[in-house]
Amino acid sequence: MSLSYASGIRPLREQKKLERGFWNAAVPSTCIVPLQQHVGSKLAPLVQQGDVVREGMIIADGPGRFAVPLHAPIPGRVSTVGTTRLFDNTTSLAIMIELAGEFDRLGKEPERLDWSTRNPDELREMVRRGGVVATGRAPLPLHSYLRRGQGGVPPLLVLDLAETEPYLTADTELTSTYPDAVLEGLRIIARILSTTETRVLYSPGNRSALTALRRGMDRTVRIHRVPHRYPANLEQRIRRVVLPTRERDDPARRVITVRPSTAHAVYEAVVLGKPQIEQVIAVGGGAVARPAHIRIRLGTSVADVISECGGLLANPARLVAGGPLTGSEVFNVHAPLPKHVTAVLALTESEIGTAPEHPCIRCGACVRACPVGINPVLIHDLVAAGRAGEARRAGRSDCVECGLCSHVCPSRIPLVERIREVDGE
Amino acid sequence: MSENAGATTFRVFPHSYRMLTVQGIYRRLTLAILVPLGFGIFRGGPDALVMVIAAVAGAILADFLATRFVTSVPFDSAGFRAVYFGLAVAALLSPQTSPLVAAFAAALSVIVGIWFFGGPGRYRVHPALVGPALLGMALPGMQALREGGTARAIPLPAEFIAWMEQVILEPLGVRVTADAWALLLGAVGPEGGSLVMGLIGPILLGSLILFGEDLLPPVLPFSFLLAYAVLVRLFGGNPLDAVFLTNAPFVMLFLLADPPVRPATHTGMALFGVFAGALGALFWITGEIALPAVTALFLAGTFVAVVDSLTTRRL
Repeated sequence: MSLSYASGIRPLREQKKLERGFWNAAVPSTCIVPLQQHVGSKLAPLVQQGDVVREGMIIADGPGRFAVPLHAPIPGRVSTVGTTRLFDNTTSLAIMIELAGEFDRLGKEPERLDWSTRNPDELREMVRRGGVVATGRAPLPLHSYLRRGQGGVPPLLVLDLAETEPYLTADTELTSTYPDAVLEGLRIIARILSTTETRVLYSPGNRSALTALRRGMDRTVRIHRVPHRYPANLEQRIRRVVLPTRERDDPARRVITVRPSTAHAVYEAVVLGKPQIEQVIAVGGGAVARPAHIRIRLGTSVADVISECGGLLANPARLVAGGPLTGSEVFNVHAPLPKHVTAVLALTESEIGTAPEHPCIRCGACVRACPVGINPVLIHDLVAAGRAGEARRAGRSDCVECGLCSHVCPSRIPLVERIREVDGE
Repeated sequence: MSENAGATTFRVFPHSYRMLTVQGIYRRLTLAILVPLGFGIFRGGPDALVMVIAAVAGAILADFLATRFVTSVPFDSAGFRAVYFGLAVAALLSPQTSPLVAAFAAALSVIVGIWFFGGPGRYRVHPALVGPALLGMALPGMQALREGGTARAIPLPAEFIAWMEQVILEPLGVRVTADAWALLLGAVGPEGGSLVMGLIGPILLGSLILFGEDLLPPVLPFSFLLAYAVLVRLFGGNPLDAVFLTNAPFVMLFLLADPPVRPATHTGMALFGVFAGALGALFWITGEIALPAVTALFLAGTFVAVVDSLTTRRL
């Protein structure tokens, strides 16, 4: 498997710069909170129509160990508990809350908890109760992800500041604004994992966040620099960077990677007792009037998010929740964003660069770009020939679905989609 | 209302593509190749211009006829693919070549070089080499395609050359022949040599488009050049003559920029470049092959599939 940083691509030239910093978006008058926000157990509502809820109150929970409770992002009255259509046109059970009453937290100085006296299990339960979902490619419940570090040799904890997918800059802004909170969240996670080994991974594009972090950083924390090429933070690549050669292939040597927004959510959940009801997101793309970062309440609709940034300059060719390479297309602008999504993009036709599909010209761009060293066009050909078994042997299981092969293909062949077809056969 | 209503499925799909399409690639290749070709036409005069126009017309007509009658693929009028191949064929021909021969060579390149192999992307040998090669075999006395001709005796600015040699080259132990100087400075064209031979400045200028637009990974021309020059030197030849008096610079830049004719990975490109460069050097040293760089690329092209199978992941 090719894991060197020579593969991948530099960030897109056409990426529009977003305003630095972020502001709090207007609190929406109605919040729709889908119950399925993460991978894992399904949740059941704990409230019913007409109930009055307070800000941060638990409104849904589940019995499984992978369940994470959901909290009311705003105070008010439950107007509906029913099925709603999500942004990607799938459906989910959801709770709709209409704003009413007073905010318990907004504008008030929170009490701080001295967590240093708490044991790891107590802290992990606080993380679970805070409804913290790990941001990133897979929206995992954080308390469950941190269980991977239990038992055996203490794992290596890595703060991932190396997000290089275009437009996914919300974590950088959050870290630059709240470096101490991110660091404290990281210390709490280290305590939960009972580890003393903490590393920071950054790419040159996120230097401002690193500079902010360094002021409060412990000297024992090692910093690793990786090239500013997408994708920079694949799990196997991170292992190669942070672990010595003899430990890279040792499955007992575990590496736990968290994003700054996750560390910040842990800080808020444990120290401030505030559940994960807010998220900082990047709003970008050529069709957005004021590309910027904003902090929104969970349950804010995509339409409200875009309105907060001045609306649209033109009709976008595509609305995307997430990054331009790994995000999901938005079909319903009245639906809210899930917890792990950190960007909303309104892309113009020129930014997308679509074109009719042509036959493959064997340029090899997909092979060179692939970060895990598979041959996407070979798998594509095998799938087209109905040889799914051979396609699996050709490396389907290694594919991380980063979208790069399709992104660089001059023939505009939807290679990721075709490769995924192997799974369906 | 369903109790288990929908776990969210997070569909993965790229929403942004790199700007280069197949059409975009050939449009930029055409633009890049026009730079040295323009200088070649300026040097070659009206005859050269007519020859280039004839080659391009022949390529477009052949592409149109092939797509109309041989395949089900629609003719790509905005594609510039045929224009690029027509220009590439013209660049390899002598300015004195008859327009009819140039048009025929370009048409052969498109029909045999591209469509005989199954269409764009299916060929391994650069189509621009196929037409002239077939024509050369069919009409051996034609000598439309030559490298290493004799420069016409037009006096060069002797003071300037003397200064260059004394101040820059002699301290480095480098000696450039008068013919090479003539070609390098674009003052003359070799008798019977190709349209772009020796136009190092314009070729480098055009290559800026190739590198700037990321059309040609630098590892390929550099490995070719390195192997070519080093081997020529090791065998006692003059590397500068081997570069300036052949089509090597044009071949390693403008022909290898066509994506299907090169290996897929960087490692494969390095191997291929060394192999093609070494072949070219051997042909130059032996003096038995009239077209060392072109022949080397032609033969090396047949090994691209082998190189790919060695350097990309297999079943």
